[in-house]
Amino acid sequence: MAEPSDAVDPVSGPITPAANDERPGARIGARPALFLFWLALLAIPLFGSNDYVISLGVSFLINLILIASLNVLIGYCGQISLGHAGFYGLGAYSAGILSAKLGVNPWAGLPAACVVSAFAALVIGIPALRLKGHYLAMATLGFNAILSVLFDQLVPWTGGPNGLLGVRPLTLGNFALNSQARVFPLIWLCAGLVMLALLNLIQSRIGRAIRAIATSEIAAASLGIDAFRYKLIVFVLTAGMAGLAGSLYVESNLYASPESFGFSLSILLVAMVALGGWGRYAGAIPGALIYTAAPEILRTFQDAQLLIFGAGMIAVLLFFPTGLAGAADAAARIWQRSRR
Amino acid sequence: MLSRRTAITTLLGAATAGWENIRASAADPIRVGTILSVSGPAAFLGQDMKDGAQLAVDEINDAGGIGGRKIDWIFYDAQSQTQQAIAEARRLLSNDGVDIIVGGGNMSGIALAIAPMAEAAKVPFVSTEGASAIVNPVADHRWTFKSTVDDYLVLQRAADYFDKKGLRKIALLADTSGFGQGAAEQLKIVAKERNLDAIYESFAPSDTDLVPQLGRVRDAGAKAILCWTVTPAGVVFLKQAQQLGLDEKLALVHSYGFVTGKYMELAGSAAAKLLLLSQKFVVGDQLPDSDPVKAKIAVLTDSFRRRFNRVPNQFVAQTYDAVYLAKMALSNGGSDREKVRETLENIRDYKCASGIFSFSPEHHSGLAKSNVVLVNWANGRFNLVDYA
Amino acid sequence: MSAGSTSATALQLLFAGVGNGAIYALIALGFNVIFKSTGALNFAQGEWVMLGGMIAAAAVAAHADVWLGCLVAVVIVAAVGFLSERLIVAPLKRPTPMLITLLSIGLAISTKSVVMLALGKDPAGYPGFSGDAVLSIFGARVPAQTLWIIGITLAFIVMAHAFFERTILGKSLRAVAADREAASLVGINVRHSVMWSFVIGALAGGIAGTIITPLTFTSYDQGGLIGFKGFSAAMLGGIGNLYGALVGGIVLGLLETMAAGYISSHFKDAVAFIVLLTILFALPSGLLGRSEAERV
Repeated sequence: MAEPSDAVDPVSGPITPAANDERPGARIGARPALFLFWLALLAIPLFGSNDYVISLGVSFLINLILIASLNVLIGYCGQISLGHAGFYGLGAYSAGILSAKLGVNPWAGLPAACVVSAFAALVIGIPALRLKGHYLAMATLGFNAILSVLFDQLVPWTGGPNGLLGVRPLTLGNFALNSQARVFPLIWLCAGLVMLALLNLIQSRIGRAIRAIATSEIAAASLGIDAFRYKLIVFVLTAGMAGLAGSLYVESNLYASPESFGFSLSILLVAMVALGGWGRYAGAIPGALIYTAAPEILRTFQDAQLLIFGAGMIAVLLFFPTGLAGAADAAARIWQRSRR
Repeated sequence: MLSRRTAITTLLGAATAGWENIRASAADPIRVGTILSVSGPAAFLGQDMKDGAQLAVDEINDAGGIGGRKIDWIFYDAQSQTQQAIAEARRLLSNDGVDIIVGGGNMSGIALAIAPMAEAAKVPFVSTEGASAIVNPVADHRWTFKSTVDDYLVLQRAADYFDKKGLRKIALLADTSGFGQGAAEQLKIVAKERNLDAIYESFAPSDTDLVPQLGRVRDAGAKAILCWTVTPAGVVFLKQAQQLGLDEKLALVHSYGFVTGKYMELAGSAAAKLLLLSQKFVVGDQLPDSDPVKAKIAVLTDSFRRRFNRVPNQFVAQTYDAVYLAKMALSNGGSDREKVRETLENIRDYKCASGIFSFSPEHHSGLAKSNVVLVNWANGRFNLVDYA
Repeated sequence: MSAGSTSATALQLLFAGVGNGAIYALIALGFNVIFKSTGALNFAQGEWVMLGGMIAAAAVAAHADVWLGCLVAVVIVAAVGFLSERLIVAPLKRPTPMLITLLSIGLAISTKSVVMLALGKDPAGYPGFSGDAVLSIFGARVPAQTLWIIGITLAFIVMAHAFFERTILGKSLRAVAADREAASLVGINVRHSVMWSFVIGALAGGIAGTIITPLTFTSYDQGGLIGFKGFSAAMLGGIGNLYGALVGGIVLGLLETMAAGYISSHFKDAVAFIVLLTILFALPSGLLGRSEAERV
């Protein structure tokens, strides 16, 4: 199996083997697996004993959208974005402001959030993606920092540090989606569509192009692939997905506050992508699981929880550099080999 | 066809089951949920607040509980993050089925987010945070109460002092948190009412350089600076004010969020001329004997010292009193949430360590202006400077 | 406002900006050293700064003299840098930049939590090298500590230059940074160089922390923000460039202070970043960077 060279590459250089070899999802049909997994998720509202448990399911799905989209950007496209939380927040505030301050039908907030975030990504991406190396990382980090200031300071619009209050829930006629159980199906549907879209993306012509670019931009260019154009497409698409996640967040919480969308979340999201296994489609699932479940599980450890999380992260990455999904793949391969 | 025997057995079973339920609920614990931030930027006062609540809960349980029922105290750390707090509030409300929530994360922003959740779930919520917006407008906040003094009233108290000293041009240097912003909004109202010429500067809670703001304040000719923050930036303010020589010329006043010995020690000589708006708690022993809460302060100081081996501050008193307020309401209402809410609303002149609490259907904020005094820091402790 | 006070204000802001900028420069320098040897972005850099301040504060609280406390802190932080490398780089079979970057995130979280558990959550501080002395310079009131900061930073940069230009170890670090394979072909132990780069990076961070804490105070969660500023300064100056760190740091410090002083203290961070990004759009390799040759 081809190994990427460990010469000093800029961080955005070639990544893991998984993104380069075999068609993603070739081993077990990815679409059927996704479909089955998605059906299984319906167990949460059906058997979840209370709103709190279902809210964990809702969080998991929203986090999955964020982490899966970032995974495609980092893992397949090889571009580090440190501003994903910024696009998330932009989507949340766009949808929230439309509903709370401008009295627009909350349903309009969902597409609006996608468009706003995608547009912002276009504006940053056009200058940033022409350049190699950490330039996108810096640009997205700076963008996130600027957004944080704006969320905090534009008080008449965003409510400032106290957060945005008065967001109205989505309604179907007279039926308001104002509880976790009621809003779950919508989030389930949206997240499912996003995962399907991402799968289609990486298996499409665009997906092959971006994997080629990630391996070697020069080689890809020599094949006539316009690296800049494809990187921009993926950057804009994934930012739009983050925006969608933001609108779903604000409609399920009916609240948004600036500190939820800072650059430390952006960094944490990158960490989750890594833990799950970047460059692997299924890696987003363990990543999102850890991100959602860890605070709940670690809660009992009180002060020590941060240390457990940090040490755990180091341990996982040291032993499984390809993340948990990569570890699962390796285990499956060993098992298959032993059966022969 | 049911035999007679089966019928009687079933009836008896049903009857005793009902009786068992009644018996069980008498011994059933009362669930009190608390969300405070003991990690993250708000942690330094969160730990004190948690200990204050802990002391109150233990005292109540040692004395037999509320109406024979012990308190099952469920505590979550909000980690100074609103998102975390929302998840925890949801857990308290639907998973843990609490009868009342005491404590809103020791950040106004968190309390503001929890209030609508408590309203929707119809569970009483006693907030220990500062912003008056937490309980206003009252019509939308029937279930939310505030055991702290409103920033509006604290500013009125500050205005009393400025009037006494003949200071009219004052500068508010507030941080951009909910706490600081709340004060800025309220000062606009108070300045108008009290004829003060106010200028407004702000800084981010994590800022480490306030020289630009201080320069502008000095150049505008302000006679007093009112600094409104709970973060160490307030110490930077003191040091840089000293650096620029402002402590000689202007009155420097810190808000009640800054009254802690840790900050005073960090500030060192820069705190020498500082005044602070404060609850009476920290200068309990220096109050005139006629003061109605002096005795309560002494009792709490003593029991806290014995339990935790350190001197309590007013943050301890805040949550301690909030739990006792809850106890009062729960003794009357038990698990009948509406009754608990009504009781809270009708508490009048209840003397506690933080002050005298009075609520009403129009006013869900318990403390009055008379509970605020001005103190300074000298000889390693806070001292009463201006009583009324 | 008289002309005198306008220029005094400007001078006041200038000193504040350069003082802050010097700290950013030190952090950027540490950042750059690790970047040059591993290609990774070290997210733990800010925690090392915080660690320097916290340990010095603990030492001073234990009745040490301020100079001694700072020295002890710097030595300990350098040791932590060494241990960090042993923990997150040395065990790796393939130390790719991406992996080291991600591991540094875990390291940052762990360092922060260890400090919280060991030294508590309270903010900490101690007097400056000249106590609370303030100097009056043409109408500007400058804390003596600011002058110490500027002086120590310059001294460090000069020493770093001498180190990289004159010493064998320094030159071998540069060789590894330029071309790992060639360097190992001439017998340079690449793994050792990486270890030294971590020590130097932590050293720079620790020094920054000890000299800034008298002015700004610190607590266990202050690392992230300052690390982020240091990274921005490094990008601004041209990532990997020693003097770029100095220039980038000073420029960022001045940008922030001037924005707060003349434009708006509310939006100062936003203004500083907008200007920073605009500069980077125009000069993508940073103010002093040279564009890297495209790898074929």
